[in-house]
Amino acid sequence: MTVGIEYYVLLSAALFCIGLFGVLTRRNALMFLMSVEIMLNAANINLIAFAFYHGNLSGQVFALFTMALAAAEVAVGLGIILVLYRNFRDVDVTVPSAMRW
Amino acid sequence: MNEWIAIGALALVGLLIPLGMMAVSYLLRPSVPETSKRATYESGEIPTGGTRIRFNIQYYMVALLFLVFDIETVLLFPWAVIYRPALESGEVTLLEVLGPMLVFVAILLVGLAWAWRNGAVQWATSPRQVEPEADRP
Amino acid sequence: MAVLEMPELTALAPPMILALTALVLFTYDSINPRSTNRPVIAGVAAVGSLASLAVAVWFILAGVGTPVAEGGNGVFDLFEGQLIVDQMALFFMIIVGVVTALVSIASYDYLRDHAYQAEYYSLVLLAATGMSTMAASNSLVTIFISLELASLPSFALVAILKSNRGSVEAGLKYFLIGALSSAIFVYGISLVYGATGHMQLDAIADNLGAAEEMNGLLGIGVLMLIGGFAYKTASVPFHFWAPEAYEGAPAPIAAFLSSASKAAGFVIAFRVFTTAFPLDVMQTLGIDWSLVFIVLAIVTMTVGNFAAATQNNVKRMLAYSSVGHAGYALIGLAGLTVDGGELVLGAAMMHLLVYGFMNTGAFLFVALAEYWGVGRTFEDYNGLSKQAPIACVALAVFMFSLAGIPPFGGFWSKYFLFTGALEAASANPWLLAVAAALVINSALSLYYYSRLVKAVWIEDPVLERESLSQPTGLYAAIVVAAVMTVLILPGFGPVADAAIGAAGAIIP
Repeated sequence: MTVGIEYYVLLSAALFCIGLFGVLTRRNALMFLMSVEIMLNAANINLIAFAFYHGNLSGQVFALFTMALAAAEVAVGLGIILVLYRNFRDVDVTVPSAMRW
Repeated sequence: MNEWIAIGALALVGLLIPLGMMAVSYLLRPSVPETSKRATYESGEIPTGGTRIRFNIQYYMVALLFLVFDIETVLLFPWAVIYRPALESGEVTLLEVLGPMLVFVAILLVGLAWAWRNGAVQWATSPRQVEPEADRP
Repeated sequence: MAVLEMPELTALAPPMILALTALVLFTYDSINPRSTNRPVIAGVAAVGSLASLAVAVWFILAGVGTPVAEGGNGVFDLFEGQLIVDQMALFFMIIVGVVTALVSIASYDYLRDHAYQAEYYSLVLLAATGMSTMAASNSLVTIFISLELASLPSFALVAILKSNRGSVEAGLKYFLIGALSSAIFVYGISLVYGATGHMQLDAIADNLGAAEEMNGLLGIGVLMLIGGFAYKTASVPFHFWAPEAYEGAPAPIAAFLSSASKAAGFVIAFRVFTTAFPLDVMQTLGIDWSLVFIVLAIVTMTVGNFAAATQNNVKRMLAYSSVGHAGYALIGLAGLTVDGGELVLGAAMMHLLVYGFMNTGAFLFVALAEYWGVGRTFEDYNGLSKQAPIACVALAVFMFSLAGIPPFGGFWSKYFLFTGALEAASANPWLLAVAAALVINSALSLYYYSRLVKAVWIEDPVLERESLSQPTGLYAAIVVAAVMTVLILPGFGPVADAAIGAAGAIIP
């Protein structure tokens, strides 16, 4: 007996929404980054569940690539947050607001 | 559905055992409140300072390099899975299977060499050498 | 021309040359850490990007990517359809090559006091590699990976002036929106994969019929993909990073992002929606994406142009104008109908090529102004023509071409977009609204573009200036961009043929 595909999609949708909520409400840049990671991992759950469902491997391999790219994104993001801290003495994303539309 | 009952029973037992132990110890133990019991455990030393201190920036550099190179190994997995079957099938030469991965690793090595030469893995003796602004709050 | 015998991988030479140049620069910087030998570093970058451009032009002339039936060398289909080198791929590789070469040459002067020379150029080239690969991507996997390869160096490049608050702020905002949109994009990919079971675009199209029971997932997935494309092309609803990022970024990087990155975003959008989601099948499934693009095109061009008209800061005006131009290029997707649309899609590709010259040139003029240190607002630009007439002639060319005044390249691409939209309007009356919005917005854009020309040529300077220097690299890049913007008019026949041919090839 296997778990139906819809439960995986529900789980990943819930994770995605948690991440999105974090992105929209958190002001700390690091929290923002973590929320984005949650969203990426929601996509990974989907990919792996659907790879199992469809019986081909491309979803699983793509999930590996997503993980690698998420790591690279975090590396670049932390670097930017570091220079943000050096310039503004804060990691609050609402502090830098010299430019307004 | 019976497999699920087993899993539920396991979860229940897994929850009950620690709760039961905590309840029994709550009932049996004597209560002697003392300030040193509440202090943070620091290997028997008297704790100094808070937990939220800023780390030397060097940790960040090393952690970053580790993160990138550690995750890159993930990309070796799919290649490793097909390596033997591809060779045994006899349809591709050794170069065709091994070559792309060697190129991949060579590109990583260029990156590592660059980071090394630019001092990312050099441990400075004092944090001020690295960060002359001395930006402790 | 005779059929060239070449191994399949050489078809990918343009992006590979870019990647190789980036690695050469990294190696150079490893041997001489923190080298500030600007002539060598900028020279290597410029030669690499020019070589990539030359190879792409040679390929398209030699008929690589044209189907054998039409006398070409055949479409190159690599790694089981993960990458494809057809006319459209080569067309966009040319755009990326042009912009990268112009930016590398211009950066020679702009970065004169900068500490991280080799890093800067290698990041530019890595981003260009990503964009060039995006042009050839034919699977959601390669699209996502190349998109990230283009994005990650761009984040670092925007924030590369580490002690400049504006640059850091721009980098942060660009990164935050970029990370969010890439998460949305990859979730969209996972949903499309779930509904169809494939990542390769042709395979997705073949399996759309099987997606009947997961129609909802497919629809949400397509919407999320549109979100990812909107970010990369700086169109509504993910456009708000653009003015911030372009204003704070070093001006050559702003030029690079607003021209090459936008073009690369459009090429994947074109390919995904024409190859993977054919309009006729999607309409039977109830997912009519052309309607989404009609709305997005109208809103994007209106938002971009109205916001640009109210700006006082030149760079910010150009940033909003680039949002507006994204709206024009979106007509290429909005105008697709069930049985045609290669004219309008080809017009969008032409517009992106011309835009690659004129918009890069305009941002490079801002780079020149930043190099001189004259200031950022329209008033600060007053009377620049007295000190720098050549650059100001070029600026006038860029502005009038961006506005779409007849003697320049920008007019032709807009004209084709307009006629293409009108032609498609017989099948879809909504396109009349798109064509009307195009005309109204072009008229409005003339106001703020000519305002800059007026400031430079007619107004008197607010302050007396010292005579201004003439940096070779920046001047060369600006003049080349201006000459190409003008020359593309007599040369428009072949360009239009190539673009419409490329568009016709990918429309089923």
